[in-house]
Amino acid sequence: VTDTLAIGTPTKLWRYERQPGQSTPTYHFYRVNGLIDAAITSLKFDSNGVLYIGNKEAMNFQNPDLTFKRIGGGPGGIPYGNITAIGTSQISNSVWLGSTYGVMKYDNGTWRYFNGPRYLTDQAFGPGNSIFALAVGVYNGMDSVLVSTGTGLSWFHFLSVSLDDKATFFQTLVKPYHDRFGLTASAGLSNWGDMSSFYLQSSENDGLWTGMYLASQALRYAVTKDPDAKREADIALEGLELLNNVTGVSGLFARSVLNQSNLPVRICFHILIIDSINTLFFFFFFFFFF
Amino acid sequence: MTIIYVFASNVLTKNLLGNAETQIVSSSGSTDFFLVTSEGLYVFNPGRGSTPLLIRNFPSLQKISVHPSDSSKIVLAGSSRLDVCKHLNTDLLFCNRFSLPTNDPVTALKYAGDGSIYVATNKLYGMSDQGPKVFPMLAEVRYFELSSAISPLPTSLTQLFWMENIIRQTLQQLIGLL
Repeated sequence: VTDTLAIGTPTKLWRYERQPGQSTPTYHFYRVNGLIDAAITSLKFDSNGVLYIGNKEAMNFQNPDLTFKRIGGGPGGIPYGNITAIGTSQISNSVWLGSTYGVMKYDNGTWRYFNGPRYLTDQAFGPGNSIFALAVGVYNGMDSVLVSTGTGLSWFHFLSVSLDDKATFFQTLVKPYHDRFGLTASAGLSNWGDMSSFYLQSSENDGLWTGMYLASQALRYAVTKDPDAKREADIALEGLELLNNVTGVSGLFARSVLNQSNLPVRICFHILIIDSINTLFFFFFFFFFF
Repeated sequence: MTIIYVFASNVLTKNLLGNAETQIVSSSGSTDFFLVTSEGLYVFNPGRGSTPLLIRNFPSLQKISVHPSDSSKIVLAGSSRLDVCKHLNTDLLFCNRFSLPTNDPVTALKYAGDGSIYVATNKLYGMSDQGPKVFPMLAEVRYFELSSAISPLPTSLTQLFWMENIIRQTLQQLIGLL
């Protein structure tokens, strides 16, 4: 076992080592802009003694035998540079990296990249995508990663779920947030991140999403015979009928409809764009299963 | 069929953490995270759905390090201050406070397996029982790391960084308190 102290400075990587039986350490240094691309911005040993070195250009790592390997950009390479923090898994060979624009996971040659509001605490391109610090722990036997950003904390963890659990999760979002005249519509938020500020939108894909939702409920009913699935399918079908009927031409689908005013007494629809092959496809898909 | 998702929760806003950049560390064998903020040290366990808890008021806190094999031992460093602590449970921390010989920002800190404490400022500042020393060859240290197999350090490094006796005394005092 070798005791090692690795030290990063703007110009060099220093490495002090004491081999078993040695009374004094040996040291090596490696110049920045040589084997290492740029000023070191983070260092981390993993449990195997591999030293990970981050900088703005690449992730380098140095094996215990002092050989280097560099992973830069390009096909199969690091998704983004400007590394700010490195953490290593306690239970696998995974390496987690924070950058000025998102989080990355490296595992035996495979990269995953996490960025934007799905994973971090800000809108795309906001300061919340910049990672200040990162630590890797364990949760449910898998990696648990806590990162701090310009706008808060984000916790990455892994969930084992069944397809039924996944479907149930998304099902609970459809009715309260996406039902517009039976159409499965897009929804926006007046205040970023505040689900209570949602508003329904009209888009040229209303027919497409509704057709897909109708197909999903047809499949759900075929498998489960759950009356709720049939109910949902009926609602979606009525939405598609609306798209068909509002044009006044049988068989000619509108892509979307929009209420002219908020008055409940008289609803007048504007036809946005007609003719949707996708919608027709899912429409007939539905009838196949019923 | 079971699938595995990467799920991310945005757990709190920066206002709760003060306006400093934070350092985060996890402790081996625990699901806790320690958070360094401009107010002091927080402990946080997102898996339990708790909110971060301030366990050490330390306004200039800059770095933390957890002992690699005993997560109850932690060391904290800030401007001219070093706290060597024992974390007894989720919200209880006993610390002994020492002075650092510099006001310069602490850029890196490490608790080694043998009980030694490594401290870096803009220069690699060593702590020893003979007083502070500077290793001029290693100026402008930004980061350093220890392999996990650290055992008692070589003499030259020991003279630079050694605080083991101080830590032992501290822990003995803590044990006495208990």
